[in-house]
Amino acid sequence: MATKDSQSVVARLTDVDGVDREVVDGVLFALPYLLVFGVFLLYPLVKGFYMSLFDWNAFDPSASEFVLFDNYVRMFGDGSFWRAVRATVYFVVLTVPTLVVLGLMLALGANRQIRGKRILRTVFFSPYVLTVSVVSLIWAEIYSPSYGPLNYYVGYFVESPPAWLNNFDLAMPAVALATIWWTVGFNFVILLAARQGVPERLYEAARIDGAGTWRAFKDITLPQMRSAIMFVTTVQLIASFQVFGQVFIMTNGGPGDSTQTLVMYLYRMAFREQQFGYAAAIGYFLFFVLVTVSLVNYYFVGGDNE
Amino acid sequence: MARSQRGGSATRRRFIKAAGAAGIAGLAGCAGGGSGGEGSGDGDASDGASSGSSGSGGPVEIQFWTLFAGGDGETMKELVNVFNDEHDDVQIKRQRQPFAEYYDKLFTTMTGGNAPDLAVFHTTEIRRFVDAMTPLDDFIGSDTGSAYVDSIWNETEFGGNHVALPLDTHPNALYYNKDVFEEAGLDPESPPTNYEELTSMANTIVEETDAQTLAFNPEPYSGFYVRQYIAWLRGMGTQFLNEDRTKAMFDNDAGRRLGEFYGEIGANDWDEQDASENRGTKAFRAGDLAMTINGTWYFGVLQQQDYDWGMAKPFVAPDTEENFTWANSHTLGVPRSKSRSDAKTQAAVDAAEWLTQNSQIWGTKAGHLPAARSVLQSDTLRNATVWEKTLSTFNEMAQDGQLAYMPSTDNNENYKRPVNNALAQIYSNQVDPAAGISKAAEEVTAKLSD
Repeated sequence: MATKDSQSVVARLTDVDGVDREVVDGVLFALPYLLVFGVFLLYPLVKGFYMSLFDWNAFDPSASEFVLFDNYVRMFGDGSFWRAVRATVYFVVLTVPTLVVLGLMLALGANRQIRGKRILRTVFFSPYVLTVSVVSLIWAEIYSPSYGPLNYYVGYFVESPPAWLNNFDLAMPAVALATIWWTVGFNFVILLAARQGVPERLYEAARIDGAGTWRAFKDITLPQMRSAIMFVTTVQLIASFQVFGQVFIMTNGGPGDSTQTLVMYLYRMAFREQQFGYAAAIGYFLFFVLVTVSLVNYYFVGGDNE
Repeated sequence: MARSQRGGSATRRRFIKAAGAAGIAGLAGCAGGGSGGEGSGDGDASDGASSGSSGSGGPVEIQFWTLFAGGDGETMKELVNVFNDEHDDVQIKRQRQPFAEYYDKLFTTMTGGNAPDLAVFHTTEIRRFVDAMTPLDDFIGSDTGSAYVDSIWNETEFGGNHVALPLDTHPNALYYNKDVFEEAGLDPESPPTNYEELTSMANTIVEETDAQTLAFNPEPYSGFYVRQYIAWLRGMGTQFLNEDRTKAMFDNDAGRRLGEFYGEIGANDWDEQDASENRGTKAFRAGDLAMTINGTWYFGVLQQQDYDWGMAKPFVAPDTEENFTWANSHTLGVPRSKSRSDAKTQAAVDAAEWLTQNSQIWGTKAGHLPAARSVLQSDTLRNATVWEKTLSTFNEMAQDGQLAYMPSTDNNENYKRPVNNALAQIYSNQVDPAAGISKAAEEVTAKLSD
């Protein structure tokens, strides 16, 4: 409906003022954004690719050695890189489905006529306003083996509670749990808005036709919310593939390299090991993974292909 | 519908990001506020200033980056304030950076052309930055070197030129809780002096004290296991790296035995099998841990505890032939900058000379062993509590040549991370010591020969 309206407005404008005026206005409106986009996104994007073709010398860029695709080739033989890929994928698997499903459950729950609905909404969303450093420090304290509140209570049931963030098997799930607590509020808000946009008459009609709760969910709620779910999934996939702050602060990639994700490996290569060319190549690898994942997600889950 | 949602949420996300950025700016504001006292000091100073050196009438401002937190941070702030009070024509603007990211940030700012005028460098990190540091020999007197303890002064020489002025030496020592020793029936004035004594005392502490009490932790910050490992290894007759620093040399009997020692600590119940960041220092400060190994700076921390504590030489590793402990030095260097005038560089170097040679409180309050001879030998220092509690012992180890600096390579991260990781895993009993050490050695060699 909205799309139709805006189309007619555009059509009218074109009739009155001609195309040139429209182009000028458009460019003027877009210019501030384009400037920011050019300086902070496009330029680094191009420069990053350029750097990835060099053995980059940060202190003296003119002394950098051109190596063509050596950095990309190196990536495929680098065990630490593949461990980082594995850790990242593990984190994505742990977080994205849970975040989407849990966000949906909370949204549907908070959409019902229950007491304290407003309070619940605030509670679910509030962690999301915290910065990553605050969240990570809070959870690092919660997980603290000897002096943390979690192990205080776990200690009642288990004789020697685990060192969560220092354990190969538990560190990543622990980081994932903290992340879910932190970001599920974002999905919740988007999905709640989407659920509220589903016309109630559809449910009424379904009820008259004898549809149960599950049937209504499957055939009305899900299809109606498809775009929102797809959006949330894509955003979460991108965010989870780029996870950095939580692991950087909570585990520093440890124990071993078990929570060293791609962006963290990239950061280490660039700023700690000063291999900017290689780090740029890793950045490009991540970029292509994200584009691919987003396209696949859009194609299979997206709302425009029915 | 979906489109409007997308726009809304994108705006929200952007807003939240912006709010986050504002939060960071706010924090930066706090840091600025901290040095605001110095800022107002500037105002006072410039009121009476008639400086010729800056040319424009106001005092020359020296941007000074430090990594000191806690007691060290407070002491450096005080030292800088004294400098600013005493100097009308030069004012130091101190900026404290988080320790863990200090060198990453310094590196970024040095490559970005906005380097500070003066910055703290550990001697072991100088090699990594040396290409971007100002050689100082043209800016100091020919006799400046004689103001510092020879061994530390020599550590700042690269390619025939000195690139930094040494502030201190900060070795590791064994700190112990005398109250726990007494509770266990041990003599609180006789801490362990070798591996056998450590074993017997630690076992006694485990048996005789409260179930909460732990006996020994060799490194209270899990990110630093490599420090004492390298020093002890040298005491066992093994160098950590080969001569030209391209190969790990610790995958041998001594290296593996020392690895086992880190594993034994948990296996013997001397400590929990837990290598979480800061755990050791939390336990020791809480009074739950009898012995730990830590640096000079621990003096300031422990002075605030309500139990009686002592300090001893940390020579408690197994199979030791010679005694060594980890040490490093803080130095002050001048990062290169095309836009800085020689006059300003000179002012920065003069400021560094003043800070390093007027560093009494760096010893008496922060607990470090000053690198300037005049300060080290001063009555102020030798009559201070810190001398009796810790510094005399540190000084003795320095005089006896028992300090082991970590090897300085193009990037020390190449060996620090693999070894820290391996020892943390061994400590928390998640990896077999021999296998862990071998793997770390392999990784270090691969990184160094890259």
